[in-house]
Amino acid sequence: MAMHERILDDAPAYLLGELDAGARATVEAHLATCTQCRAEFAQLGEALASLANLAPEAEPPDRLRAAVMAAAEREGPALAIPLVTPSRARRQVDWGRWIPAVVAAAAAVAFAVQASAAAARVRTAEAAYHRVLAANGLLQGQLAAAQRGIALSLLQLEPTSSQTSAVASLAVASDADGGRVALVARGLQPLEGREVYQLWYLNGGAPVSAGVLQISGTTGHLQASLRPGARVDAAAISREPQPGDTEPKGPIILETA
Amino acid sequence: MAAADEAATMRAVASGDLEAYGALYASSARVVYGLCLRLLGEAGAAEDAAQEVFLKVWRGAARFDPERGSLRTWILAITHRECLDRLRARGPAAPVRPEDLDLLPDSAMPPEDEAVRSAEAECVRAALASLRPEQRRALTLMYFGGYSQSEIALALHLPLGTVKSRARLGLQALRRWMQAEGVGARGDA
Ligand SMILES: [Zn+2]
Repeated sequence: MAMHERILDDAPAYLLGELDAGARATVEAHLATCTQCRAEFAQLGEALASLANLAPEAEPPDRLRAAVMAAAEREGPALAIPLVTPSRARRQVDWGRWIPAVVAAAAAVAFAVQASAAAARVRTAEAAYHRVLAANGLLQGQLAAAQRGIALSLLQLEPTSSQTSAVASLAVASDADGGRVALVARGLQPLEGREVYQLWYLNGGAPVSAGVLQISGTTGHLQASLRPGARVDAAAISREPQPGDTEPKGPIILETA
Repeated sequence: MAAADEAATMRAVASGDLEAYGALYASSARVVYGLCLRLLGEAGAAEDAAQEVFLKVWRGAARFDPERGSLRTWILAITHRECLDRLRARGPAAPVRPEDLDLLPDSAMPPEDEAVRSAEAECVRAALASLRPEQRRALTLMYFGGYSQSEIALALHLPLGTVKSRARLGLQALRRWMQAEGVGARGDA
């Protein structure tokens, strides 16, 4: 009981994205196991959100509409993160890219070293990132997905070098039958020749290709299926000299911790 | 708009339908811009924030879940978070503004002759007015002022735990009031 009370005391600060990483983790760990508090948080979140109704409406300048529409047009269709249970019907499977064990072990070590170097950077970005999640309603999405037995997570990929300002978000939705990943990357530099940007994820230590990004301007998109039981522990985007490789050969430009 | 219509609208927006997006803008721009203006206090900053909000709505359209609440509530939550981030980015040193200390519901409301005064706004106003003053103050400082609980504790010379429990009790009271009035949670879900 005392635990529920302590968690609930943090509800307003949590819902407004104010808690530090440690306190937030405590709340989320409790919510993951306590349906009672989860329901309470959802209702308190609605009550808090209703305060927005108190602000008087106001007429924005006409140019705002033009700017908003132009930005959407420039970006193209939004990234879709499927929140529904992946189809139980037989899916098209494209898993021909598993790396032989020996190569995988070597690549995993290299990958892990690079990933740990980026860990500190990623932790600094974490607080801001969680606010972005909440801003996008993903927290609500996670709660809804959890109730349907779907694990949903969002990984942020950060640049490996200060030379690039690219960023990427990878959404992973999975259940016992498999799942989907969806990625959007922004601020990518133009490719040359046959080069491609390729997404890799670590599943129990083995890097697996999730495919090649579709590029439009400086934005890249990718959606792919996960095979049943697959986990995404970490991910990276490399700039490959050509498509079709089953292990990263080009430089890794973005990665998770 | 019924939940099914809102879901259809947002599916269209997620798939890149600019016409649906334009209609969504037309129906929500005043509300979004109004909240930005209330929170940021200045037209230029509000315009910037509102533009970013609509971009987030465009990017996140697929994440709208009608079972969790109305489209209006979803967009307003995105708006609030965007403005809060901007308030916080102004720096930790922003002192508590005196006008926020006694932000009574009436001062957050449009004047009587304002054209739109929704039933929902009426109800929220009544709910807020029903709270104990210290609970209302903690909530409005956090929600409209963008202040952290530590900042509030410091400004009001209160222990942090007191601020926490006031905010929590106030929020729970708000929730009970609105449930009793049948507001907030989606009725047709
Ligand atoms: Zn609990």
